[in-house]
Amino acid sequence: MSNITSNAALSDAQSTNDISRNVRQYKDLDLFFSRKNGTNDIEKITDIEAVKRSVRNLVLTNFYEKPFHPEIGSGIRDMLFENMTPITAVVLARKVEDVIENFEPRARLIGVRALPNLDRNEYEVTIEFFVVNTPTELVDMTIFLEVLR
Amino acid sequence: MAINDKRLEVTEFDFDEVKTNLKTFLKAQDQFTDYDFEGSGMNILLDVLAYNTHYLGFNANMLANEMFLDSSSLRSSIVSHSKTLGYTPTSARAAKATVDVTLNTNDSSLTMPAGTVFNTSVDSVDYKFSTITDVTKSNTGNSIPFLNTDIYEGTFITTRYTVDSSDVDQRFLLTDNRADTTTLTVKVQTSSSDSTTTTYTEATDITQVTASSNVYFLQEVEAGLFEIYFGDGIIGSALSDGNIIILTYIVSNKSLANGAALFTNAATIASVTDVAVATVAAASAGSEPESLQSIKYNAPLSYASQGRCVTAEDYKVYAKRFFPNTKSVSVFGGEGGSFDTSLGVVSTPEYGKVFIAIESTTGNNLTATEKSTLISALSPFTVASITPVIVDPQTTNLILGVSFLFDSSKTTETATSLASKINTTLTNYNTTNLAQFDGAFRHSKVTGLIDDTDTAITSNITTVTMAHNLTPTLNTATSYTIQLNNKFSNPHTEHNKAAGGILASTGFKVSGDATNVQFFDDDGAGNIRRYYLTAGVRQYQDNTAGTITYSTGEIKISNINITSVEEVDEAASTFIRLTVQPDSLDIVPVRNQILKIDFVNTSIIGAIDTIAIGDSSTGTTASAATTTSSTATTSSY
Repeated sequence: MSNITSNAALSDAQSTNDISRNVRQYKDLDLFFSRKNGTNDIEKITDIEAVKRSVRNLVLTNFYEKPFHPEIGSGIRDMLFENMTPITAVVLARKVEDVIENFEPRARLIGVRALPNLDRNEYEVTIEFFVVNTPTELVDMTIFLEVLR
Repeated sequence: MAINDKRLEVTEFDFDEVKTNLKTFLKAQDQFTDYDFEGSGMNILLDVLAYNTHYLGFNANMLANEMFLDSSSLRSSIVSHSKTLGYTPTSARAAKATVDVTLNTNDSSLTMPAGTVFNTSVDSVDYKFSTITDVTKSNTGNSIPFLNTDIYEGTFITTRYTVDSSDVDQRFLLTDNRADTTTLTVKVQTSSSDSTTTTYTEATDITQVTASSNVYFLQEVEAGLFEIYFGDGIIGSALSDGNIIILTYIVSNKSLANGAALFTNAATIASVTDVAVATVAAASAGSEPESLQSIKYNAPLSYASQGRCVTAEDYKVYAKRFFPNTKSVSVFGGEGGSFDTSLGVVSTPEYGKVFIAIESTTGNNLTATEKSTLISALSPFTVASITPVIVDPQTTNLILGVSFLFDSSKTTETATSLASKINTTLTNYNTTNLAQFDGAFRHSKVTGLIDDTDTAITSNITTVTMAHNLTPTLNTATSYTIQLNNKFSNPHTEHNKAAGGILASTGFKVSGDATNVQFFDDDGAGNIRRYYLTAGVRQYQDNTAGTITYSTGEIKISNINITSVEEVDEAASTFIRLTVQPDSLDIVPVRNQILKIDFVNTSIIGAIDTIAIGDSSTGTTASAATTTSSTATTSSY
């Protein structure tokens, strides 16, 4: 078993265009299940934040994890058990690219970098993309991947 | 946005369809919009919901299937349904043999205990047979014979249970799913301090069971094990705490030891070392536990027969129950025919009897022991005054002559490879439609199947010849009667007289002529003739060697002393093959008759269909595949 830690996108302060006239807003369920201030409703996440969360979900999904859809996933967990080399890092970055290109149409991918941090036994994966709804703002998200065991 | 706020499809149970329906439903709201993207939180939630729905739908479907005997697929479900119909599936059966055991001793009497072991082997594998009861016999001079002792293949097992009513989960199980319940004896010892034992018998009819009847009930439970349970003091006597239940039974290797015929004692018997073991009947009747298909078939029929053998169908059910190696059964009442030891099964009525023909899965006829065992097993269920008689099945072989034409432009196959495909088609037809009682040979169906074997086959002409293997009694003047029960071809009197009629046979020699190989044919006027060949010319020795009745399909051979039988199919033989040409191309089996295709002599010949490939000079040549006659008028078979 391995476990994967990452930075949470919860506290992200990216801009959104949360106005009712916007019919093309991305609105998703917050899987961290945070509570909306003042009500007991579940929090919504929107636009850039929603897409970032989706990208994070996809990167952390393994093949055969989704019921009846074994093809959806990144397969990076396997890479974490490989020897930590720059080549592995490139392959890992490639896998992240693939999963986003294949399953996240809202993200226009600019680039993925995976930097091995040998001392901490982790990869720092930086993903840069534009959200289709917000074409002017380059999103830059970083996920740390490490094998716990 | 509310384009679909009332519809939620509930008819689908497949994962993807459920998920699609949920998405359709979600289109009616705009609180969450990202359900279509695979990475979104909503999508993960939909996965969970759809998976759950799919799982429950599948579960409900399986549950519904298992609720009915017809659709259930788990053995435990099928067995449970059959229990409600009062039907207990047959357990695995140990192969059973009968031996005469002689102890050469001067002791006045000795007991051969239950569990006495005899060794044997089948195909170089060793098996052990055991007795299942104590038998005591007296000295008859200087030996003690134990005649006709039944021995069963397997391990003789004793299982003990102490009744403890405080243990609500206590069950009394036979510990192995290969246990043969027919060898089961159930004894109840009063307590550990009181060794009085009472033998309990299986309850088969609860109308006969009283509060004091010492009976047990048998049922199959999970994993193919059998459980016994006892009465409650109202129906059957109840057990009390401290009673010790002693179960003895055989755990066998099922059918593996069938055929074992040579037995030796494994150790001294009752301390006697000089033991002779002679086989009376070789091992037979070992079989697998009843199959699921068989339980599904038999349980409702058993319920319908209500524990009585009245109709032919009832007899079929009971024959299968008491002779588990039954492949198929044919039953006919005495009003529809009878059995005569010399003539075989004939159409003459014989009232008061019911005739049962059984085809065994081994392909052999039932032995005399198996027949008498079956008859005594049937007797408690038969209507008074009706006597069941077991008769052997009579196999009539069908020799086919298949000539087919094929369009060589439609296939890369050759005539030979197509013939091989047709052979497979016929083999399947033989297995599924023929080779059982009531399996009639329907000519047009067969020719249709041949045409459908390959799209390149354009037509076929298939002829049928009936063949019967007659096993003569050698060196004794004997007459033979053969009922083929289908009309023979005889378009006019003296049909084909010069060329040998419609009857042919393989060769044999008769007393008084050790040199010439003799054959039978007929004169087309109802007489069977015997001849031998000199330079291909028939030298008739007897023009009235028997009679042939074309209208009823009967062949009677008058007293003849046959001394030897020639080879059949280029192999040494014990039988003479008689072939006749039937009047109709459809052949129907009657009473104990079974039809089988004889693949050794069946010919399948292909030719290219010149019309189909566009040769304009066809017409005349296209009929080349037509055979002139299917009848074997010489001894070529």
